[in-house]
Amino acid sequence: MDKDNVGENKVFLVHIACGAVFILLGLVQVMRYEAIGFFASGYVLIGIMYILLAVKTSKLPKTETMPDERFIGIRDKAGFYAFFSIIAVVMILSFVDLLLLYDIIDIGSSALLFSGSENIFPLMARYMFISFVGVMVFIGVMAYYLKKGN
Amino acid sequence: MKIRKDKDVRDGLMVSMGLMTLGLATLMLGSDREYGWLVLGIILTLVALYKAVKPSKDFIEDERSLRNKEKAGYHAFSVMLILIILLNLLYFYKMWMPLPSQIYALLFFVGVYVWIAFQWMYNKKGE
Repeated sequence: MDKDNVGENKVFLVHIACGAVFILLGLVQVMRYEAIGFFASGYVLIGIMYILLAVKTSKLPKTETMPDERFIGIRDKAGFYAFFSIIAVVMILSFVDLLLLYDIIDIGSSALLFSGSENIFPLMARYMFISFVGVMVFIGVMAYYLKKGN
Repeated sequence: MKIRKDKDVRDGLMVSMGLMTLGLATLMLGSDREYGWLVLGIILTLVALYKAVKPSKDFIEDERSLRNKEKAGYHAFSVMLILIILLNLLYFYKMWMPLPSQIYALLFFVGVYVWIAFQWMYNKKGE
């Protein structure tokens, strides 16, 4: 590590700002709705992870935190696949919802994801499912191409 | 005019026929709002037929447009994640409580049009 470069890299300020915003969002949710602190804990966790990332990047010189050409190419490719997986999940979920609406299939109320709209947070579970699939596809494709090369 | 009968054309027609079957099935179930599958199937059939009458080397993508497509896909993915987080917050604080079917249409159209817009932008602007 080059000592002259320490403190020159300002990326960690962005990470600290993002972490603070997420922790604040989580705390607001805890204060307004004490009963569902489970959802808020996710925001606080993301905030803490951002702060840890800031601690890590604050010590690195500028050249090490800049993404290189290969990484950007792989990231774009992974984002492309993740985007179309989200579109596919949305289409499949709309079809499954239609089947549920007309009582074609009934899998009970155990799975919140496929429950009807009379439940408390059916839409929230669907949002979580869609974003979870997208992020997992993104991470998976990225790991695959980082290992294999373009 | 020579009509191609290779793998690409066959796959396109298979996908469009599957979508049209799904659309017809939903219509037969008595739904009156899921015409999208049928329309999508018809559009894809037309695309596949258009591709069939052109030589296959017309559709080989060059490096630049492939790169722009992937870049636009990445940005559309980010936009959709941010949109889902915002919609989740709106739902959580009971500001807007739509039906799931409304949300699917919103996510689908916003995603696809953001992707097309980014692609257009990068094609115009360059890297």
